Amino acid sequence: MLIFKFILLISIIVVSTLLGILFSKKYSRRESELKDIKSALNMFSTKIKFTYEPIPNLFLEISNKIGGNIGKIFERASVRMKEESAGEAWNKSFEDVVTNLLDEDITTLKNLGRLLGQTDLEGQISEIEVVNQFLDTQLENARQEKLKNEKMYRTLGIISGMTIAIILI
Amino acid sequence: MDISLLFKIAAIGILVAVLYQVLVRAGREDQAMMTTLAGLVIVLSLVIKEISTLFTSVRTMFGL
Amino acid sequence: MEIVKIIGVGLIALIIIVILKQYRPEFVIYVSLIAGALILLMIIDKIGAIIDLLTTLSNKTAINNEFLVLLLKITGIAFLTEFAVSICKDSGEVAIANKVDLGGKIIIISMSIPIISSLLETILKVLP
Repeated sequence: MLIFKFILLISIIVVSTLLGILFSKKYSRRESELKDIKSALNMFSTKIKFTYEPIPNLFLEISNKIGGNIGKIFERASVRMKEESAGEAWNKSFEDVVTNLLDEDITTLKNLGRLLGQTDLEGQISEIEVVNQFLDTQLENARQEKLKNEKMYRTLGIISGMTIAIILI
Repeated sequence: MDISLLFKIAAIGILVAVLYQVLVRAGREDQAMMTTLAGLVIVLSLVIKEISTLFTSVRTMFGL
Repeated sequence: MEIVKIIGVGLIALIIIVILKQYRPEFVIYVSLIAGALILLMIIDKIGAIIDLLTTLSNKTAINNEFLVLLLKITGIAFLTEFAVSICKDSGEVAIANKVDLGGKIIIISMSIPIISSLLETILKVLP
């Protein structure tokens, strides 16, 4: 009976520690996803500048190179583009994939969809430029939040688990 | 009713102190305050039981 | 070996209080409350033995049993009042401690009225 109790208490500590790590991971994941999407957009803008391939093919290439959640978004978009317009496909692919990005990141990225495939080359490239600048500030924000919150969530998880275990002894 | 209750309260106190420090360091003063309050309430609920045991046993002993 | 236990509880509580005071001063009061309750609960068995002895003694003599019960009640009230008063004084609330003390004293006096009146009656009987 005593062993059973101890196993339960230890499992409570382990679970809450894991929860803390899970929450803390969200911040570093957001940072890496922002970085991914930034490099993906850079790739996209150079590719539409120098090659004249259609957008779905480009997206597929990018998704093969990037991988992760962002790669999935590009893959979904390129699949959807076979049936829908480029802008709609881009917007809807963000709803298909669950990411760690914030809402404000996603709305700005969706703005890109309005111009995608609608304007000429110059317009698209300048729009990508604008989004890139926004992503830079968001990246800086994400880095600061990561520094602040990552450690806190980790400690919070361990300590709250220990507190619950001590109360239940 | 034994000595482990004392250690339990000490441990909860120290853990709440650490939680408070961590939350304040992260700029969440409100939640830090709430944590302290929750810790106090939990410890109070542990203590109240023992105090009532003491009082009832004294009452039965002295026939009050 | 009861005394070793009591000293142990007291010293452990003291160490915990000294450590805890620098981090969370509001938890200190609980530790001292629990330590006091623990020690009092440890000695309560011994008090029971003492009370048994007193009642058997009083049964052998001609003293009115009612008075002994009253005496024990007064002791109990003093016991609990002292507990509360020392806790209040520990946390720096001398005013509340004094009020509790006063309440305990007044209740003790009001309970001992039968004893006082019977004493007065005895004196009146002895006087010519």
